[in-house]
Amino acid sequence: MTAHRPPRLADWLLQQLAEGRRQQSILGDLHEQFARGRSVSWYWRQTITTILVGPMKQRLLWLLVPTVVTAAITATWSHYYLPTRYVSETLILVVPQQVPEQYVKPTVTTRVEDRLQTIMQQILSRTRLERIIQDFNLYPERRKTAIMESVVEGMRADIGVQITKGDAFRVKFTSDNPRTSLRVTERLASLFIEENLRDREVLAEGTNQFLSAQIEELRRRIVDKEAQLRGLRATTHGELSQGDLIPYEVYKESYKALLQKELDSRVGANLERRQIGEQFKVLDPARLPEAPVGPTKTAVNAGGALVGLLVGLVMVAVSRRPKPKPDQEPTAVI
Amino acid sequence: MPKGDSLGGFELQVLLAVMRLGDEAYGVPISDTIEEASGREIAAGSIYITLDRLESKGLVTSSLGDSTPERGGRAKTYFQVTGKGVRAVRAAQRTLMKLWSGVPALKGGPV
Repeated sequence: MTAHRPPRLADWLLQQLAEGRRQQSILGDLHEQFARGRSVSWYWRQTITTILVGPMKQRLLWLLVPTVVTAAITATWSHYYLPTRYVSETLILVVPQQVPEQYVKPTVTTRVEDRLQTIMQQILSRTRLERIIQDFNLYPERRKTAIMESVVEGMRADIGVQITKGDAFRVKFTSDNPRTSLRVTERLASLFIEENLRDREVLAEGTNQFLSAQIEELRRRIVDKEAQLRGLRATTHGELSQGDLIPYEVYKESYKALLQKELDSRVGANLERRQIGEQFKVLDPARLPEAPVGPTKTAVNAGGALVGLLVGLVMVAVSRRPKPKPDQEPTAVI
Repeated sequence: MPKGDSLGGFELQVLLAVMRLGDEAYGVPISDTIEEASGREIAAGSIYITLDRLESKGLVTSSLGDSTPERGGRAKTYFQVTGKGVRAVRAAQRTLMKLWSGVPALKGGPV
C-alpha cells in the first residue's frame, strides 16, 4: 500500500515521541524512502520501532513503570483489603388501621416518621445489635481485634433505613457475604415489625392503665363528695347550696367522660392485640443480592493503573526539554 | 584496542556500510546497504542510535549535508569513518577470522 505522502499521525508521533538530536534526520530519511515507494505499513513499522528504540524508550518506561507499579499495588491492596460488598433490602409498608377511625379511634396517634425513629433507636441499640452480631457471627475478624462497641458502631453504618413517600420504608444491610446480608435484612425487618406491634400495644395498655387509675381516683372523690353531701343534708334539713352541688356534678360528668374514654381505649388496645390496628407489612421481601455493590476490584485496579498512567504522563511532561534544533552539534559541517 | 572499543555485530555492519558508501554515507543508503546484505528490514531509529554510539566512541564523525524536497526539506546527516574506526573494523575482522578458521564445520566455505 502506498500513498502520496507519509501518514500524518506517524509523523506527529515521531515529532512528539522520538525527540533527540537525530529526529529530523530520521524523519528526512523516512520521507525520502517513502517517496521512493515504501509502503504505509513500512512507514508505520519504522515509526513504531524508532519510537521504541529511540530516546522515547525512556519515556515509555516512565509511562509504563508507574502504571505497572500502581496497578500492582492497587491489585494487591484490593485483593487483600477491598471487600466485595453486597446489599440486601426490603420494603416495608405502613398499613393503616383496618377498622374505620369513625368507629374506633386509634390509641397511638404519633406520626409514622416519629415512631420509626423511636423504633430505629431501639433496634440499633447496642443490646439488639450485639445479639444479631452473635447470632449471625458477623464481623468475625474485626471482633478479634476491636471492642464490641466499635463493632456495633460499624454495624450501624452497614444498616440503612430510608422512608419512601411517607407510607413505606426500606431497610437494608450491607455485608461481605450476600447470604449474610439477606438474613440480617430479614431479621431487621422482622424486628421492625415486632417492635412496632409491641410499641403500639404497650402504648395502648399504658393509656388504659392511666385512664383506669384516673377513673379510680375520680370514683373515690365522688364517694367522698357524696358522703360529704349526706352530712350537709342532715345539718341543713335537706337544703344544699349550688356551691356544694356543682363540684359533685362536675365529678360525675368527668367520671362519665373518663369511662367513655377508657372504653374507647380498651377497644383500641384490643385492635392492637388482634393486630388490625396500623401495622408494618413486608411489601418486598429481602432478596439474595446477585451482584456486589460499589466499585468492583476490576474498576479499582483499572483506576489504579490510570492514576499510574497519569503520574507517568506528568513525569514525561515535566521531563520534556525544549526540542533540540534539527541535527544540532554535528562534528563537522560540509 | 581498548576494551570499550570492541564492536557489536550491528555496529560492525553499520561501520562497514559507512566505509563502503564513502562520501554518500547517510541514513537511507546505510540502511539500504545493510538491508541488501542481511535481507532484513532495518529500523531507521536503530541505525542512528548505533551511529551516535559509534560517534561517541570516536569511530565515526557526522556532518550536515543538503536537504531535498522529498525529505520534506530536512538535511541529511553524513557519516565518515575515522582512523580509529578503521582500526576497530580491522581488529574485529582479525578476531572473526581467527575464530572462523578454528571452526571445522565451516572449513568447506560458505554454505
